[in-house]
This record gives sequence, C-alpha cells and structure tokens, in this order.
Amino acid sequence: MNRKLDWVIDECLSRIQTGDETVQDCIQAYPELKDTLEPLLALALQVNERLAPEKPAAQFVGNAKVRILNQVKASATSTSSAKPQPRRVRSISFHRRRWSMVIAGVVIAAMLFGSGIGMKQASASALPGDTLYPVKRAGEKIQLAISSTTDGDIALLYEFAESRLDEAQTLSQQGRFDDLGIALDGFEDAMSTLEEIAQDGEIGKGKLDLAKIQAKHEKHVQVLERVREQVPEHARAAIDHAIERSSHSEEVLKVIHEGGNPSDLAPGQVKVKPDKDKNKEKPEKPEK
Amino acid sequence: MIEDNIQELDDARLIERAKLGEVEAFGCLYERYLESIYRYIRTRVAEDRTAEDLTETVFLRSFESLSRYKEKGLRFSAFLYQVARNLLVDHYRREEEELPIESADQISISPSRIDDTIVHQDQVDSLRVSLEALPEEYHEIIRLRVLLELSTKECAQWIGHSEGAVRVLLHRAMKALKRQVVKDYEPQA
Repeated sequence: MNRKLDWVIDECLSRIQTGDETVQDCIQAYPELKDTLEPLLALALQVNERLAPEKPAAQFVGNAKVRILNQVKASATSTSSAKPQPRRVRSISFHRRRWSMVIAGVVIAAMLFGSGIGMKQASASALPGDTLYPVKRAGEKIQLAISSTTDGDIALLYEFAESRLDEAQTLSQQGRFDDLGIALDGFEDAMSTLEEIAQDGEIGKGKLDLAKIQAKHEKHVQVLERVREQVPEHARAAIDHAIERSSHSEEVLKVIHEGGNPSDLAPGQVKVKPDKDKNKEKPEKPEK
Repeated sequence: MIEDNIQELDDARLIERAKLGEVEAFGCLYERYLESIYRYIRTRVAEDRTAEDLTETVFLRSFESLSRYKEKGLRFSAFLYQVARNLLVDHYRREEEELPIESADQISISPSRIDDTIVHQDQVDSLRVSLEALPEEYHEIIRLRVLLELSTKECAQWIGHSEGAVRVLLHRAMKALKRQVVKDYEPQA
C-alpha cells in the first residue's frame, strides 16, 4: 500500500507540475487514497507557491556568462600554450607520470573541498538518515569524478561499496531498519557503476586481479548474510537482492577478465550458489 | 556550421569540446544549467546577491576540474549540484564564524520594518520555518522535487539514489512536513 502511495504521490505531483492535472483530477483518479493524497498534494502546492525561488535576473545571467567565459578563455589559453606537455609526459618514466597525477589529484581535491575538509572528516562516520550523510556521499561522487584511471575507479567503487556495507551493519545493530534501504541502494549503485566502468574501461584480457576481486565479493556476501540475520523478515528481500547484485558484478568482471562480452550474461545471471540459496526465488526489489 | 549545431549537442559532447578549450561549448553548458543551479542555491541562502556569487563560483570551479571529470554515473548537472553543495557548506561555515548569534535572515531585517515583516512572514515564511525543522534529507528532497520541480529521475541523479528511493523519501518528507506544520500551528496550551 505504502509503495503504491509513494508512486501515486510522485505521479500526481509530476502531472500537476506539468499543468496536465489539478489536485482534484488526481483525487478523482485515486478516490481510495483521497484522505492521504489530498492534504499532501495541497501542501506541496502551497510550498511551491510560497517558497519556490525566482529565476535569476537577466542582467546577472548575461554578465556572469561574460565573466565566466572570459576566465575560461584565459584558463584555456594558458592550458593550450602548455598543450604539448601531455605528449612529453608520455616519454617520461611511469613513476614520474604517476607522481604528477597524484599531485594534480591532491591540488584538485584541495580546490574542491577547500576548507570543507573538516566537514568531510566529520561526515566520514555519518549513516543514512544523519544530517551529514549527504556530505559523505557527495564527497565520494567527486572523488570518483576526478579519478583518472579505470583501476582507480574500480578501487574507489569497492571502497564505497564496503562503506555502504559497514553502514548497513551499523544500522541493523542500532535497529534503524528504515534507513537500511538507503545503504543497500548505495551498495547496489556502486556495483552497477563498477560494471559500467569495467565495461567501458577497455580493460585488457587477464588484466584484473581476479583472486582479489573474488575475495571482495565473498566478503560482501558474508557481511550481507550477517546483516540478514539481524533484520526483520520484511527487510530480508532487499539483502538477498544486494547479494545477487554483488554476485552478478563478480560474474561481469570475470567475463571481462576472460576477454568475453558481459552483455552475453542474461539479465540477473549469477553463479549458482549451492546450499541455502538453492531454492530461493529471485526476490522482488523491495520497498526501502 | 559546427557553431550552428552546438546547442543541440548532448552534455558529453559539449564537455569533450570544452575540455579541448572550446569556450562556446562551456557557454552552452552554462546556459543549460545556470537556472537550476542558481535556483537551488537561492533556496539555501537569504540574498539574491549571495546566490549569484555562489552560482558563478560553481561554474568556475566546475570548469577548473573539467579535465578530470568523466561521467561514470554522475551526470554533469549532478556534478554541478555536488560542487554547489560543497560551496554551500563552506559558505555556512564562514557565515557561522561571522554571525555568532542571529541568522543572516534575522539580521537583514531593519527595525523600522519589523511590523510589516512579521505580517509578511506569517503568511509566507511560516512554511519555511516548518521546512527548516525537518531532517536535512527531507528538506533537500522537497527543495529539489517540489520547489525546483526537478523530475524524479533528475532528483535521483542529483542525490545519488534510485528513483524508487526518491519516491519513498518524498512521501516520508511530505508526511513529516504535514506533521510539522500541524505542530507549528497548534495553539499553545
């Protein structure tokens, strides 16, 4: 019921925002949800009418564009005058190149995070539902966006996935089952991005450290199974789904390592697990 | 001829060209996302001028890190949003250091306008007070989905959750806001 209501509220809001329907039209479409739907939609409209920000002033839009593009032009000119450098970099030793990348990374990270380092550290132990949690996740997104190698991306994504599992463990220990879905969702997002990057990253045959990858996925399953034992029945389907996702990602990486095409894997195809998963149906993606 | 079509290019192509130093390509990205980034920042600061300064900085910082940006599941608009959030964190911290007791909103009201302001706030800002009492995650989804009218898909990309999680979050946030509004309006015993 709640799941349907989540969907209906969102759908009605979209239709009202595009001007296709009014609150009354939505209520007529879902009369059984009238009592819940009407006050929430009316409140959303009020919030929008009273608090929605204005568009930026036209003068600012034009002036800022000129200022920004002038700075971009100046920066592009200085970059293009130094453009032959990347070609020269190829001829210097791998270690020097590696160090230049590390230093550039540190400079960019310092620019992006600036004096927000304290905030980032403070958010490191934040859990889903905590005020600082979005800061923690935002930091991860930026780390990934500025990482410059496929190996680096993969290492970061495993790190983020493990962080989500740590969160899931702590949440289940604290009995915060409502927030568990966000951690599991984040874990699955990390796995799915990992698959995309591994597929796009032109990894050569035999280039992945398969033993290390296998160990990581085994650890995922162990942690998730531990969490599964601590949560109520209704939350278990989400954990089963996350276990399947981890196994699927492992299969994808294995196929890439063997020089095959992961798209040959059937959707949701995973290695068959003996024992307890044997008779289990593929769980429906649960409500979080 | 290329210039004629530049507005039609997708983000990835524009980013590629901006990385090669094509200023117009970055100009297109600016035009495409200026309004949503400005309006997002404007929901979080008290003055137009502050929102303008921060918006400009978001685009400059984004350009500075563009050479290392790759999509990898993070859309460019979501990348701008993350840069904006980091800037806002710094901005609030600086404000806290500068304004030890009152908020910037309170200080900007001149004494001669207090009566008018109170009447105005009764009508317009009471919802803001209720919104500000919500947990940040709820407040943020209402900003994005209700105030900025981003689609569920865009919200999901910006905050890094699935669309299903965004729907759940929105429902919970609206229910919490309703409870908060009732509580704030309840006559004092």
